[in-house]
Amino acid sequence: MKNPPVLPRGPLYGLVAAVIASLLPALIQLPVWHAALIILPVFWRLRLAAQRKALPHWSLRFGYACFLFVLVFVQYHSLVGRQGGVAVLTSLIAVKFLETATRRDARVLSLLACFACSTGFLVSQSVAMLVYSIAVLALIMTQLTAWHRGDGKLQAADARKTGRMLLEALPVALILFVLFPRLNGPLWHMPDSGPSAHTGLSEDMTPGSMSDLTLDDTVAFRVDFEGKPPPRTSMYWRGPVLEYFDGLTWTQRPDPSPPPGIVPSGPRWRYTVTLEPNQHNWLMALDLPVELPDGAHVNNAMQAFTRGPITQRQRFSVTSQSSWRVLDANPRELQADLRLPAEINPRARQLAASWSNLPPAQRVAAAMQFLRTGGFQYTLSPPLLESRDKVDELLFSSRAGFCEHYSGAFTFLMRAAGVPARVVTGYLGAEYNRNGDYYIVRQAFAHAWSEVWLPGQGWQRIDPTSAIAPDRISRGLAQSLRQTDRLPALVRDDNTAISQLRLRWDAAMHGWDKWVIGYDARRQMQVLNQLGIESLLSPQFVIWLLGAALAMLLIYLLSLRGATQRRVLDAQQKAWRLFVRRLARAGVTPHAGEPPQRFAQRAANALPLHRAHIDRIANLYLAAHYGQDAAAAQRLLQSVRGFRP
Amino acid sequence: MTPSFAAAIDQLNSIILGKPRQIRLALACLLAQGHLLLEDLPGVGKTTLAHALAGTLGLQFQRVQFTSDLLPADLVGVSIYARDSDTFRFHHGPVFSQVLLADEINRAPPKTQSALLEAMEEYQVTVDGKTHPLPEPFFVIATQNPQYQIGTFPLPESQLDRFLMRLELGYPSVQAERALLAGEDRRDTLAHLKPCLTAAEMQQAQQAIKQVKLAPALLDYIQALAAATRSSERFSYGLSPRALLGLVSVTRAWAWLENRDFAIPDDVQAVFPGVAGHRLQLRGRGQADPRVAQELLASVAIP
Repeated sequence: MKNPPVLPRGPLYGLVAAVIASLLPALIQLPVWHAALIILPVFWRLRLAAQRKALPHWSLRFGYACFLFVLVFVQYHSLVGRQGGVAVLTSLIAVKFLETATRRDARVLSLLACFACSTGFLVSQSVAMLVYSIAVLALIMTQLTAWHRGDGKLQAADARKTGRMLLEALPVALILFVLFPRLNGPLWHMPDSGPSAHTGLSEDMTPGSMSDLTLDDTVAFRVDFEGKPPPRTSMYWRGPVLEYFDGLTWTQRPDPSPPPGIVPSGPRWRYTVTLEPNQHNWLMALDLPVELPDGAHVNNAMQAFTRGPITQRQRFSVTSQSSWRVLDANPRELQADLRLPAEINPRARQLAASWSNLPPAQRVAAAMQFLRTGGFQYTLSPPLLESRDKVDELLFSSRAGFCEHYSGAFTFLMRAAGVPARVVTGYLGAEYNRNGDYYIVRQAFAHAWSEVWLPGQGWQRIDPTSAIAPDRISRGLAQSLRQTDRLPALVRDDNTAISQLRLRWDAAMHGWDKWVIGYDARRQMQVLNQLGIESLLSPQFVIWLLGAALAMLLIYLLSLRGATQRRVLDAQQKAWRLFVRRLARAGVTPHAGEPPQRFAQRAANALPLHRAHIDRIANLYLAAHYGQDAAAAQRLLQSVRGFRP
Repeated sequence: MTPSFAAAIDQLNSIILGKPRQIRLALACLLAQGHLLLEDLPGVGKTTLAHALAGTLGLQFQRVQFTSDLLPADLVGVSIYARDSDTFRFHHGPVFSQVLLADEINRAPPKTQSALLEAMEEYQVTVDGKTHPLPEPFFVIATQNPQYQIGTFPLPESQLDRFLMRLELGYPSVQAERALLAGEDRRDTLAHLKPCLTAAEMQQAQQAIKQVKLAPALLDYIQALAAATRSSERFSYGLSPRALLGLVSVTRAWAWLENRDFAIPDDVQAVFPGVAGHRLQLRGRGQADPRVAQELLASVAIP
């Protein structure tokens, strides 16, 4: 590169400040040495500018970029994805400084900085990040204004101008935020940062798996009932059925056999389940689903499944009935539901053996009686069960546990007493939302109960937790726990100023999450509904959108007309603008207030090969525009069209 | 521009070396029928330029060295009793000439300055109740030293406004100065001046200049410049309509000297510092220097 044009240093510093500010959220995610290596080219470039030296050879720049790529790959084992991609982007922007030689390059870097600024939201979506990003955007725009103005000195007027422009853009941004149709599909979503600690029901049950969920108040699914909803005590949402026990963990028993024929009875409930995304294809349905939408099915343990994993919010219409009877139980399966690991929990086996003379229904009643009267405690933080015989330890010494403990122990007792039994996991209850007349089921409502096989009656739901903490079934979780249990702090009822403040802060952040972060297609629909719009395809919405667009266009045109009414461009003015643009592309930009003839002379000196053409165009323009020579005006446009420096 | 004007410019350039732009501006000022103020340090060739202009244009020339004891009568003339005819007879002062060189005008007391300025505005002189018209054409070329020199009476704004243009010559370039030092004595050159123009040619030129076209876009530009001086907080007051009329006529003269029959923004920019520089007063700091006019030009977009 011979004789590179020297960028003015003032705006270069502005550019460096803006770019570093935009990269900062990504940089602080990296180890210090890595961030330093990435940002090194920026200071290299500054040093070259201070010494007025030429930029490094392309091979050096290319080599350094490759080096940074390798670093990123070593760090993240990927060049794409949330962390790797951001690191690559950051590296590329920093290296781009080493080839920033012209004003155009500086503008390109500014735009890249805008893009980098938006990657901050991959790190955090808090209000603080929004404020920071807007500040960075203002900085970028300010120095861009300075570049655009030409003489390239940062001035307070640039900041004022930028501030005004950002304020002017604000209403448009808000309108677009609210009205621009949001896609329901996965066209764009937050890339996952590797395996996340996803909470929710799992495929197995170990002591502690449900009680951990009680701290998670995220929504599992929502339900709209058609007609009268079932009472809370019947709201058992059936999930994975666990039939295999290894002494510690209850797991599902994979069985491809078709579901048994059943005879449903009792009240019917029709409802729509709106599932939140989860990792599974479980369709949460009231015990027991009898009619499922197309594509959904039940397995041989009567758990409902969707066709594929739920990756986005999806709605399913389901019909359930409260009671059911199996017509043709498979004896082999019933046999499997009696199986227990050998030799563990001798005392529980002994207790169960003492009921074996009773008829099966009496054995169930005896076990429930045992739980009801045994002094058992319902708590989220039971003492750790450390021995090999965990059921024995729970039933006869610690006597404290949660639904997963009791349903597991009860199922163990039943099997030991010769009654086929299995553990059913799912959710219990729902929270009524008066505002939208629907029910919310949260992860915290996760529950486990048992099913026992009684001859002549088939599978019967038995909830051992109801024997220990009846409130859990009828009133919900918070009422059934002791004060010392871990629960989200906000559930507790203190009145100190600090906790009041925290409540308010929580409400504000909740509002932010709900209305800004969580402003998705569904919420947009709610807002639009309030404006009287039923769907994104409805004529009202199209009219709204077109009306808003037309109004904005009209305001813009009016303001344009008011400001520059006298600057209506005639043909020769347009031709001259085109000429100036083409010269600008060739590197000759007009100075502020530079008259046309002097500009043309400067351009001719800069592009001596085109001197004759430039002179001709300038003379034609001056004759046409200031000499009002119509013939010159006609020849001007041709001449400019043929001008390609 | 006619060949005789080209010859006149060549002759002027051979006397005042290395200042073609100032010479052209001075000529444009005279073609626009305005008075010219040359302001610069002593010894840079102001007087020589004035002398050469008069000689080249073929105009009758008088020079008055202004001093602090110069009286109006010294300039205008006096009525003296004539014994032979037993009457008072008016003796014409040096103001009765086609080109009056008022050298170091700011050294004269205000009374004398205003006598001259009245003549410049009215093109006539009234003495003892009798009005005497001045010859046609009548130009005043005044020179003055910058005001920070000792013993001067600065011209008030209203009187500065009578001068269509103010020019500064500045030091010559190295080559021009070398040619000056190596060449013959300037006084000899001035003595050899031959007029290049006739009075008729001058009048024709002045008529031709009035035919130079001003496009609406150019008038827009001139008005935008005026608006900028009026709205700017840097200046005590903006350009007056008289100043704009002057700007328009000098712009036309400049365009004519550039061999064009229409004026372009380059013409406006060429003459603007000369026309506006002495009329703009910086708030709190007195007169604006030419750089302020240049900054103004850089800040106003050309329509």
